Parts: sequence; structure tokens; C-alpha cells
Amino acid sequence: MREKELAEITEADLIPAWAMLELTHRCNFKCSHCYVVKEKIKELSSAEVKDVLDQLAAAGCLFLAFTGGELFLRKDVFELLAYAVKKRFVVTVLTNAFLLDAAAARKLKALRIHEVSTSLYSLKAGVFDKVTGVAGSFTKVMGALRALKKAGVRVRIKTPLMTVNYAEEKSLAAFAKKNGFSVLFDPVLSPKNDGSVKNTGQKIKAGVLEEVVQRHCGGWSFSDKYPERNVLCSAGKNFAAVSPSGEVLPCLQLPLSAGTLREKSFNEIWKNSPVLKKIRGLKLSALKECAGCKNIRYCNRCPGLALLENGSLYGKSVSACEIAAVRSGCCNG
Amino acid sequence: MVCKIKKGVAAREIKGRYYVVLPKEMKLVKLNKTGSFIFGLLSARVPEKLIPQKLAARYKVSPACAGRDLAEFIRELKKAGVLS
Repeated sequence: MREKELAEITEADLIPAWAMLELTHRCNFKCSHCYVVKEKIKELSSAEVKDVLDQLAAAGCLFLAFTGGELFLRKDVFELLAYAVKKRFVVTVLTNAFLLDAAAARKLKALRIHEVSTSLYSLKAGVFDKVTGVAGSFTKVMGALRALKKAGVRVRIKTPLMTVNYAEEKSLAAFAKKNGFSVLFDPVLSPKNDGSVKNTGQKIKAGVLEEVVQRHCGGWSFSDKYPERNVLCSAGKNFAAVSPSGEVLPCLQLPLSAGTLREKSFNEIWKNSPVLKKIRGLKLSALKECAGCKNIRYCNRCPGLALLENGSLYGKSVSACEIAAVRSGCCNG
Repeated sequence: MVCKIKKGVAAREIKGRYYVVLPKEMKLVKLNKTGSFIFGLLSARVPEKLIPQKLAARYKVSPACAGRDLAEFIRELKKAGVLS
């Protein structure tokens, strides 16, 4: 309940209580569905990251997720996590877990990391390794999950549902339950951050999508009170993201740079960026295709996906439309 | 005596109120105005014995009353695993 209240207060007052910090775009996996566009960039140094953490804390950020790329490829990752914990963030780590051994798991526990979130694509080594493009990755990740469990680290499994693994949802959920992990399934594959859709080949098709979405019918609650909240989001309002080179973004899914922390302070960017002002100014009435849609109450449109899929912040998101239509049918049929 | 906020306790002051994640329950709580004032002093490592005077001055209560309220608050925070 408090999180909901905090979300409302901070959204109204434009306080970035939630943030994601990408430490690197380098990765040791070659996942077919990855949205990250790898470019040659100069990553923030340890000192620069610490300065960003200071600035985020001062701006009111409480919930901070570290992500990548694969953040454990950075040699200073534990130093940075320790600093974030010291700054009293709720620290979540998003990792592919390939590099996590028993010692690393114990370190994360000792640091009091809130949660480690990792992708588990399949319980079949062949499928998993095919998704990651790295032979032996399944064995390593399963070993990491065992180590995290043994160390007492909270784990969340996140599984994008794709053509190769959607049939495994039940067994993945059972695996998570048995091990005390939370689990999140998502049938949406985001296009690459440059708009290319070459990474979405594994996206589940219409008939299957219906089957997948319907599995979750019972767990939904919808509100007609704030339909704009269904199709707009908190990106750039109480949610901020920072890229490995220090670009401030409204969200990692909304790759529009609001400014760079190598040139300006977070506060200055957060308060004055025209990009952020534009995002914050988005109103339901401006979304011509969505405003009158009969499925709006079932929709989780992501402005970033709309931009990447259709090139417009004001347009519809095809993925969201497909899911909303199935949900509508599910709830009304 | 200095009451210390434990390592790993997540907390942030937002609009004058502290939001604290209770480590045992992993639950987010919002402290009231007085609690936030005290938590701010504890964050600044103000010794516990100096806090009743500051509380008394701010809320126009007797130092004795402030001391009792502080003791109760600190007991609760220790029980919740926030303070050592």
C-alpha cells in the first residue's frame, strides 16, 4: 500500500523515487531477443557512478535497479553495489547470473542486496543455451541460482515468453515456487533500442498469445478511474534511467536522452530537460488512436514500445493492442 | 550512546517524511512527522541523549515527555531491525 502511495506522491511531484542504472552494455550472452544496441561508449568510471548515486539519492530516489548489459563484467561492481547500499537505496540487481558463484552470492547477501533478478528462459539446457547463444550457460545459471538460494538471497526469475519456451510456463512457475523464487512472465519482446525488430523473431504469434494471456485471466484487476494511467506511464515522472555513459533517460525502454551527466547535474536535467517535459506533458487526448479505444481498460501501453514499434510517442503499441484485445475477450467473453 | 541505523536499511526522505524499508518484513513504511524528525537526527548520527532536547524544542513538549516518546520509538525501530 505504501508503495502505491509513494508512487502517487512522487509522480505528482516529479520525484524520481524509482531508477534504473545501466552499468554497461557489454554482455557475455548473445540473446536473440535482446533490445540493447551495443555501441562503443565510454562507460562512467567508478567515481562517476558514485557521483550519480549521490545525485539520485539527493533527488529522492529510493528504489534502484542496477542492470546492463551484464553488470558483473565490471570489475568495480561490488564496490558500486556497496556504495549504493550505504546510500540507503533499495538495491535490486538485474543480471544473467552467468558469473555468479557461491562466493559472489555470499557477497551479495552480506551487502544486503534487496533482490537479484535473473532471466530463466527454460529448464531445458538446449533451449536455454540456444536463447543465450552461449553453450553451457544453462548449467552456469542453474548453479548460480542454487548458490543464491543457499546464501539466502532473494531471487526473482523473469521469463520473456517466446515461441521456444511458452509451453514451459507452468514448469518454470513450479520451479520458482519450489525454490522460493518469485517469477514474472512477459509475452512482450521489445524491439531494439534503435527501432529494429530483428530481435523479435521469437515473438509468440496471435493464436498462442491468446493461450498465454488467458492463463493469467484470474489475476487481473482493472480500473476505469484513471484510463490515462493504463496508456501513459510514470517514465520521466517518478522513474528515471541512466545509461552506461551517463545519459539520463525517462526509461530504458524509452531511449530518448534528456541530457548527459558528464555535462549537467541530474537535478538540472531532471528539472529542465525539454525531452522530459514533453513526456510529462503527454495526455490521453493526444493519443488519438488510444483515447477512444474500447480496450483501454485492459491495456498496458508502454510509450517506449509505441515509439520503437511505430515511431511515435503518440501512437499505439501493437504489442499492447494485441494483449489488450485478448484480455478484453477473456474478461468479457 | 549513539543509536545507529543498521547497515543495509533502505530509507529516503521524500517531501519531509522518511520512507523506510523494515528489514525483517521487507515492508515499506512511512514515518510520521515526529518519527521523520527523529530519523533524520539518527541519520545525522546525533547522539540519542541529545535528541529529547531537540524534540522538546521543536514540538513544545517537556524534555521528559520527549524522552519517553523517543525511547518508545527507538524500541520499535530496534524491534523492527532498523536500529542497532
